[in-house]
Amino acid sequence: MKLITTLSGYPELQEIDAIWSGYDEPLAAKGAELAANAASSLKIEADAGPEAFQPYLDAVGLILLHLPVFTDGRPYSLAAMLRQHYRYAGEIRVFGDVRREQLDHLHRCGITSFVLNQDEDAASALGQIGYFSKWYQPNISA
Amino acid sequence: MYQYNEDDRLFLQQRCEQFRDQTTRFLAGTLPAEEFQQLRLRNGLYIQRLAPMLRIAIPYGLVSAGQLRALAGITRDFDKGYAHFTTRQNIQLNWPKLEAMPDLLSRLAEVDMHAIQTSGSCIRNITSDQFAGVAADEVADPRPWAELLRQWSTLHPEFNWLPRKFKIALTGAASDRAAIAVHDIGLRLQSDADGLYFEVWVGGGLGRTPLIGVCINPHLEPKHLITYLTAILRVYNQFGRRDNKYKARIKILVKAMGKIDFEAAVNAAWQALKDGPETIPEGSIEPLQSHFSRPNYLTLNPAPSSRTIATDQPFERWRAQNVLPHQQPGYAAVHISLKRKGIAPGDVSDRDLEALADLAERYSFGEARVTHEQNIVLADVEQTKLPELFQALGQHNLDRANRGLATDMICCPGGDYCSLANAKSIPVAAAIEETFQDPEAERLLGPLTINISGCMNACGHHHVANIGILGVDKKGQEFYQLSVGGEPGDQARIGRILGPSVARAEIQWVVQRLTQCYQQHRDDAETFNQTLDRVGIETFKSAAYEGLTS
Ligand code: SF4
Repeated sequence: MKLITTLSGYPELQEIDAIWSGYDEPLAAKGAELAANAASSLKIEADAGPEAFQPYLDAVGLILLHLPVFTDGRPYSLAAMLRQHYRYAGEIRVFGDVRREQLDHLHRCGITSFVLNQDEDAASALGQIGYFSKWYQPNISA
Repeated sequence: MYQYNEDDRLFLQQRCEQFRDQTTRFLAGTLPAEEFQQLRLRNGLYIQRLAPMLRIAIPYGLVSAGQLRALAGITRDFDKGYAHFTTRQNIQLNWPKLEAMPDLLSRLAEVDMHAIQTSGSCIRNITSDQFAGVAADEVADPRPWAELLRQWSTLHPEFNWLPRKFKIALTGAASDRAAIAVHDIGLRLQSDADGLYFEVWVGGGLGRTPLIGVCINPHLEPKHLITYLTAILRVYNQFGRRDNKYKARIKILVKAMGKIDFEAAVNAAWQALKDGPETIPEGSIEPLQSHFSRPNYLTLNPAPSSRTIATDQPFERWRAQNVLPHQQPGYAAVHISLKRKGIAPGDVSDRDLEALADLAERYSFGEARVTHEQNIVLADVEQTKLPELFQALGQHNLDRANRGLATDMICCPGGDYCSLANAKSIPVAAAIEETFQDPEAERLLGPLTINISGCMNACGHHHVANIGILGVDKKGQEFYQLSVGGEPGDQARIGRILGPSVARAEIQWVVQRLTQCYQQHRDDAETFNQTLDRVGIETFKSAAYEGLTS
């Protein structure tokens, strides 16, 4: 799997073997909030409501957002809400049907790393983040 | 009008290059078709019945003489020398070639124009009152706010993949010429002792489920405009239906949640944004306002207004029908009809576009406006130059005196061009036109709206017409469903279906019988809808179907 991460301040390409790479396998069971820590990850589906993530936010280090199909706009708003509403400061990683044309937008909504759809050409995807020199909206990731 | 700066131009240039790369990859087979489809839609390109169709944005209807001239050149070099004005202040080309699209978009960018977000499930072209800044009934000029929203909505990273298309309209006048009640978001700029504020309407729309919007915030301080709209869009993006495209518009969500719950959800989302970085800082709208400052009007005396109209004089008739009052003494706003005999409603040739550019330059400070009724307005004409302008318009077949009358029909491209159509609409407009041969009879009939859509999508706004005509498919045959009693504007309401649909050959006679029925029953100066409401739909129905067997 190809991962693009912007955590160092600029986009970098990494090869990973699991979408939660760098963290523990996503928490699943109810009540797991007690066990959550900085190495924990949490998987959120596109239709998730706040109850699916709110109890964990203070502890987990990685939130995995699912983009079921590239035309689905919900993860963009979820990411923006996690940053603006819930003040989540950890890593947000998107996985699923993640294509190069989406990266810049996803990034500006507060997403910091991207597991690419396997058909995407990783090298050209890398150049997409920061493609535009001018935006009309503030950058939530910044 | 708004003048692009270096950043705006660089942005547009990069967008063009991005699309060029996408098109090249698609043509080389390395960008999947289903993905390219979404990307090209967001650059205004549809694949239509016969060829691609490009929809170019004219933000809130404002266009310069230079832009009109560039459009004329583009229709010649990339198309067949004509174009079509739509009901959403856009202009469409019907025959561009996909391979030529990147060059075409670059040509547009040279005159600060684009086709960004004129289609696809995203925020569409922002529309407004065609008389903004000059209307005698204006509370405040909506254009700086419209430009602010244009910028904010352009490639908004969070809202590029909405459940469905999203249309925003705003007005700053006492009477609503922007149809805010039938938009996803409608904004009305008002003022009270504390200054300006917005009334925010949500969930209106036409199409399959026509609905009048609801007001979810009667008093929004302008500084909160962006954060509040972001909250609305965020709620919609998360909870709008994505499983059924016919139920995906925000109006369905508002209806399903109910006004109270929807309003509460928006307020909850707003709390995280309110007073945040996107709050409009004090003093920051003024620079935008300066782009829309009043032109250098001369100090003139107003022409005497209260004189009898000699309706046998073509100029007087045109003046009475097509010339509108202006804020500035001695000036008038002139309505130019694009509803001409033998030409599809809203269509213009390259020569027409050039003529309009010349006239805008000569008589109206080099600017023109596009209306959602598919006409053109020259907003700042000296009253003493009206006879001269009328003559010049006549030389280009642009002098028809039918503003707001029966032949000023709104009509979508329909089955002649549009791949979604059930039936043709342009020939229907032409057939109805045939029944109004005598301009004096049409004038005596008075204000009347007849709108035609080729399918449920209602691009022709048939629901809000006094007489609405909708193309339907009846076992492979083109039929038309009629509705009556719709109303655009302030008192917006949806028309009621009259009865069974009728065949193409009958439609013009049915419309004629409806107008005759109105004339026969009306009291004094009653409008069509007033008469309809008083005598009842049954009277109109039996008149309409008289002698029809099907
Ligand atoms: S109303 Fe239907 S036929 Fe007419 S332009 Fe819209 S989609 Fe096409």
